[in-house]
Amino acid sequence: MTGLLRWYEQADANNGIIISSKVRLARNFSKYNFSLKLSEEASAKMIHEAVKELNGLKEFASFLEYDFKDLDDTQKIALRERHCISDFLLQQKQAAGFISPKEDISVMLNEEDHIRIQAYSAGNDLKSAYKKASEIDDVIGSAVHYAYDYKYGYLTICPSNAGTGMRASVMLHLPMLAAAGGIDSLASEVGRFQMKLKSVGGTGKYSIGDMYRISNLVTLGVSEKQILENLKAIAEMVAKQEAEIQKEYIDSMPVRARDTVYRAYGVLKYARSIDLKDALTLLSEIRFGILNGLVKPVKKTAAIYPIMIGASPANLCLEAVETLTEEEINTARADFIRKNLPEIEN
Amino acid sequence: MLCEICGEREAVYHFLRDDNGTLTEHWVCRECARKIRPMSWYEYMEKHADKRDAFEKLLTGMLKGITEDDRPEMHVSCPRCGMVFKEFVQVGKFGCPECYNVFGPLIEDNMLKIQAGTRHLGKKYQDETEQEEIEIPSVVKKIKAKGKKKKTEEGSKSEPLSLEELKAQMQKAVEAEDYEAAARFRDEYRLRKGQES
Repeated sequence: MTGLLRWYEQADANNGIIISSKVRLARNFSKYNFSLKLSEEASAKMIHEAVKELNGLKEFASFLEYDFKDLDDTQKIALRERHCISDFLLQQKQAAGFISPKEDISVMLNEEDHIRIQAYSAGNDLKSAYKKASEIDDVIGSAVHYAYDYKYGYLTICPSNAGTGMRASVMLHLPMLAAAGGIDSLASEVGRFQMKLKSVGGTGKYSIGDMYRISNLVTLGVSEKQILENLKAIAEMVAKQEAEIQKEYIDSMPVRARDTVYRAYGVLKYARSIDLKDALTLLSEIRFGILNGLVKPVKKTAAIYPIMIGASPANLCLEAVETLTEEEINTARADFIRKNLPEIEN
Repeated sequence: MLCEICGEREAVYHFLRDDNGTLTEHWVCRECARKIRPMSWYEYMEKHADKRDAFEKLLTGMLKGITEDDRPEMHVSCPRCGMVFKEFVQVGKFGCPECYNVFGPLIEDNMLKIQAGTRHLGKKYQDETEQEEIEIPSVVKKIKAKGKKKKTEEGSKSEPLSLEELKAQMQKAVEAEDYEAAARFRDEYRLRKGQES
């Protein structure tokens, strides 16, 4: 299963600092109470009804259907590592959902809201992510009856999501801004535009692989179009800042910049055991090197981001028959990276 | 219960292990769990426990300021799910779609602090267009029809309700827990009020 990574497979080939664009829509049934006032039995009924309705739709025919009843913890966490389900869903006792074959569209049932639709597009492409999410939203909205109000729009359990019910975000690879200690000031700058900057996959403020996400905070009183346009503008501004520092760094220390990338490549190419933190840090350096032409991959489609996902612990455990120990995972990670690391010209 | 591996610390994790086809039950402490499992489910959950939406906290934080004095609106409750305003202020979450109508006006000022407005400007749900295209013209049609045939058998029944009457009907429907009817009266009330002003 580790060889089967989908929409982001070619992500690096034609995209730079902005890795992916995501749109999430929150929707609720009008006839069921929100999760806070919905009993376990009623939640089960809601999930069952939603699954039944969506199963009958031709748009979902090719989707993978899952129910938490049939998944073990490793499988659930693997879905999370691949961004197919949310942290919130992961913690739910009962849940179900649908995932598109390319893993770019996911419908989660019994998330904080009854229905959460999310769609990804590779690179800087919020527009296509929104189009995918909105089309699925139309399909679901005609099969089930949403809670909607002409004044407050789509009704969600948190008033902070009401209106469009939309949270759009872009994921950025910011190795230089992070190294230069620019994340804090960036976060407050982004905050001034009522957006949020958050680290991805790290613990605390900093991300291990230098991955960050910027998302909108305001959902009511603005249209989807405005939100997407604002977010796009901010993301491009941040990406520009990062690109400038990257250029500055390479121009001032060309030998060291190139050396760092080759050293990272050397370690990953020969390591027999590696922990997640080291792997992500080194992969981040290689990604930076490829994008800036410091090193040249033999094949044009060399992509590093999918390796970062595949190197996550639960994804490595998917193929294992037994639960792996930490040492076994580190070995499996080194093997996986050696197998998938793109060949680089000497 | 003590950890079955070290026998010293309190066991906090429980798991089942498949040993050649037979399931065995185990209780271990945090430290030993880390040694035998790559990343336990519980650790994962603990790690993410603090990731609550800061935005939500902001809203409850702002609202908490108004709970200090025990004002009468704190006891306003939603007829559909039973949520009391005081409870909403604490959790920052609504209980059901009807809560928006009940508590919406009470949090309007605070909503403005975290949102760009209090009116939806985005994508419309099919229902709204249906209401405009199907239900609403039917009201107009009735009024028109009434103008043409002055003496119909329906007589006073087809007389449109006044705003006050609509409001009373809405209240009645809410009390009878007939939310669909209440929503119809509410929409008509809003529409008519909009036409008048």
